[in-house]
Amino acid sequence: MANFILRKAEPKDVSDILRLIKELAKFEEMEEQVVLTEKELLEDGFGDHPFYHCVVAEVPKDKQSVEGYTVVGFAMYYFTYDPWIGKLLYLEDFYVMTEFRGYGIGSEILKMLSETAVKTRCSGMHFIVAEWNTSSIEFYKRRGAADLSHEEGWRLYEIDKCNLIKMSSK
Amino acid sequence: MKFNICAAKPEDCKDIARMIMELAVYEKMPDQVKISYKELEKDGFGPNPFYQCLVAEVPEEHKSKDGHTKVGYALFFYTYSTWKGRTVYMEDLYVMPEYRGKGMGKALMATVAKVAKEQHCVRLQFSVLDWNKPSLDFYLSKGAEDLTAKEGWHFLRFHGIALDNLAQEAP
Repeated sequence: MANFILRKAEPKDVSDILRLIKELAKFEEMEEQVVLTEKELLEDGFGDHPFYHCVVAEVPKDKQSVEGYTVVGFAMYYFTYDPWIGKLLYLEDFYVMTEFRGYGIGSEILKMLSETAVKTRCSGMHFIVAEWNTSSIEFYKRRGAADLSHEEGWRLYEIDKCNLIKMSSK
Repeated sequence: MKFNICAAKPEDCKDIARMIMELAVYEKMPDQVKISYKELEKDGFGPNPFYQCLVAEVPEEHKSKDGHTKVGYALFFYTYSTWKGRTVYMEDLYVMPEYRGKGMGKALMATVAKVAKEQHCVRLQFSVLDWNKPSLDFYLSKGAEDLTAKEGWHFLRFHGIALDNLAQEAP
C-alpha cells in the first residue's frame, strides 16, 4: 500500500490526534498518564499562540483501519533553543498505527520533519526515546541519530506542578 | 548581598553569551558553543522569540572582579507534552561561582516556576549531566525527579551531516 498523504494537522484532526496519542502512550506502558483533552489540544495547537505543530498521515477511505480510521499516523513537534548552536526542532511524539507499519509512512514523516528543520535553519532535531524501546532506537540510529544520554551523560529531570507551586511561592 | 531578577533585554545578550560560555566550560564542552550574542539577540528579541531569559543583577558596589554586574541567568522556552499539555523547559541555569550560595540560583528558578504557573504550565523539565553532583543535589532538594532513572528516557539527536542526509532523502 503506497497510497497515503502527509499533511499539516487541522483543528478537525484533534480527536484523531488524541486517539493516536493514547495508542502511543499505551505502547509506552503509560496510558494512564494522558490527561490532555481534545479541548486543550485545540486551544494549544490552533489558538493565537500555538505550543506545537503537527503533521498527520492519512490513507484513502478504501484503505481505512479495521475501526474505520483514515488518519493513521502523526508527528508532533515544536521549536526549542540551544544556547550553544541556536534553533532546534524537537520531536515530541511520532507514531504510526501498527496495522499501517512497514509501508514507509514513518520514514516519510521523519524525512518531512528533517526537511522542515533544515528549511527553518535548525541545527538539529532532538527527541527522547525510552531505553527499552530497542526497535525505535534502531530505527533512529540507522538514520544517523546519536544517543546523547549515552555519549555525553545527559539525564532528563522534571519538577511537577505541586513542587512548582511550592517553589514559586517562596 | 542584594540582587535583582528581571527579564533579559537585547542589550544583555553580550553578558548572556559570556555566561553561556562559562557554563559550557564547566560542562567540559566549550568547543560546542557555535553562536554569538548576535544570534541570541535575533532569536530572543525578534517578532518570534525562540526563548525567554531572566538575568540576575547585583549593584555596582558588588560587581565581579572583571567588572560585571549581570552575574547569573536562566534561559527557558515552552514545550508540549501530549500527555499533560503545556510545559516549561529550562535549558540553562547558571550563577557565576563567586556569587553562589546567596540564593540567586534558587531565585532564578523560582521566577521560572512563577512564569510557568502564569502560563498554565503543568511542569518544568530540564536536563543535567550525570556527573554534576552539586547541581543534582540542588535540584533534588527542590523536588525534582530523575526521569531517565525512573522511566528510562534517553536523549537522541540528529545533527549536522546526519540531519542533512535525512532531509536529502525526501522525495
